[in-house]
Amino acid sequence: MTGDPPAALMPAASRSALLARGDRGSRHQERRLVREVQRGSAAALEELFRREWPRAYRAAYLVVHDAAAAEDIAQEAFLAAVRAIDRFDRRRPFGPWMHRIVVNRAIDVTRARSLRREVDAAAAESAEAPPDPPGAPLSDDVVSALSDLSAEHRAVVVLRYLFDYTPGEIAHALDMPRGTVNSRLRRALDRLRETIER
Amino acid sequence: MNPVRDRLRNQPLPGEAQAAARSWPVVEAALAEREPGHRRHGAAAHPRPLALRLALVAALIAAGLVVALSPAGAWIGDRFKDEPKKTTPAFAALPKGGSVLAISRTGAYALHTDGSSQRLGGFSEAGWSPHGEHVVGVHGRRLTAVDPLGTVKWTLVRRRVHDPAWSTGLGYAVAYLQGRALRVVDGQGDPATDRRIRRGAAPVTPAWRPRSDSVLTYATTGGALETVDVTTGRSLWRARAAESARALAWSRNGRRLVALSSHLVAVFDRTGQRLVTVELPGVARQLALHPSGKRAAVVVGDRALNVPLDGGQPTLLFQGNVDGLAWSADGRRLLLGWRDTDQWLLFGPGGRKRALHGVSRELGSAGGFPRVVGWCCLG
Repeated sequence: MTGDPPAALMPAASRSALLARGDRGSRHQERRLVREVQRGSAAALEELFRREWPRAYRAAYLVVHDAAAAEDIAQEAFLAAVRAIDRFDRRRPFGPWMHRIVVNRAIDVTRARSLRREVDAAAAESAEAPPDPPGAPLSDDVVSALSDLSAEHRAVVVLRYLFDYTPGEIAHALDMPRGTVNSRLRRALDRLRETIER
Repeated sequence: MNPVRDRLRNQPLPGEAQAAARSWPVVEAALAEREPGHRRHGAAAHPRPLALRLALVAALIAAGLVVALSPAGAWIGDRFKDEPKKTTPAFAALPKGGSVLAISRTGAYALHTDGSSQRLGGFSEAGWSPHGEHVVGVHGRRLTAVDPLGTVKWTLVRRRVHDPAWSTGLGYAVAYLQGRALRVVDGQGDPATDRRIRRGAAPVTPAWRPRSDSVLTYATTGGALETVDVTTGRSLWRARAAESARALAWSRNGRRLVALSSHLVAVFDRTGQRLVTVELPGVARQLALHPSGKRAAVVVGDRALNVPLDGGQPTLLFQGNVDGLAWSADGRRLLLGWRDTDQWLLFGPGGRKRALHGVSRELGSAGGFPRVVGWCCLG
């Protein structure tokens, strides 16, 4: 991986720019990379990986709040992308496709964990499932506060504020009504702002 | 900038760069594994795996990471040192015929005796169809059937789906649990055939009676075992277990059902009469019933035990952190995973043992240790 360092190592300003949605030039470059990956270029895949990994990992982490699970989710998303790359329509942007896979998978993982606890608890005839474990909480107040929200609320926040998707786009990505997206955003933001202003 | 946006984007996250370093080789390998017809020509088509990986590490080191001092970094160093060596694949040591099903962090794999491996999907649970022609697995909310090349045959999307089991007759049915409901769908995954058989099922993979597409045993949340005819919904028998079951298995001749619980192995006949109860010297985790139904390999704590099912005393088979075990279809060999040393051990006739080294690396080290979950269809 030559050239720029991975985004995780960049200064905050550069990282923000990278995490924001791509402009027209970067879209053009993305299309070129996808075309080259379809032709079998490992170098193009490496470049795509370098561009998209920080976003994929960050999105997954912010939903699941677990580094190992985030790694699995981001890696699975890339594996899915590589396996489906021949069928990928280059006229469509690659990033949103990847983000949708990552966020939906992260919601699934969080739900599956809750389910496993619920089922285990039922088998043990326990009255209540324990609350979500915090995973490896970060010291940052907002990121920690995010972990108090449900996976669905976290996903909406991540898509809106990490990737700058509109509520309509989020509704499409998560297959839910736009009104639900708006209400979840509002509720989540209220909680997060309380933390920031504290 | 919006303070929420700012913090979500800029807060450093734990393990991000190390995760990238571990994942890149896996992703790159997936590109290389695409079908030959998909590979193109020209200079750009030639991957430079060693150079790329070295460059990845160089970039990480140049950026000031102390990856090289971390376990992940140590792994990366080892991997590059080993890269030019061409050694016999670990799985080539498996006896000819049949394929092993294993699950690692990156999903389920079919491992073949020519040393090759095939990723089947990102399944967290999986099992063979009766003749090894398909695998059914769970990935998030998806219950999916794939062929041995990983081609998806069908998918059902269900919330809280887990513990799938393909029927053992002609493969006409797949049982699974949805939350606490026992459900069955036909082997084609037709949603119109998907139906609930019972409520109140415990989280234990149901066991089909051998050569049957209709008789199924499951554990109830109340600690009982019930065998049902899924075609009619009729209960064939119900038995009270001394402890809640953790695993169920029918002997190949369909005469014995074995239930593993935390401290016991209980053996039932085909009508639900308890024949034998064997007490275990510790907390049991996994069960592999010998095809004869006369003995079982059981993981108890950090030991694998040979448990005779005629009431005899368990004997030590292996001491170590065993994770995953399966008998070959002919019952002549037992394969078990020894996680601490990244090996699979093959116990053959006459007490012969053989080790398959470095099994994690065969699947890309990011996948972690592959847990054996099934061994199908020898010969």
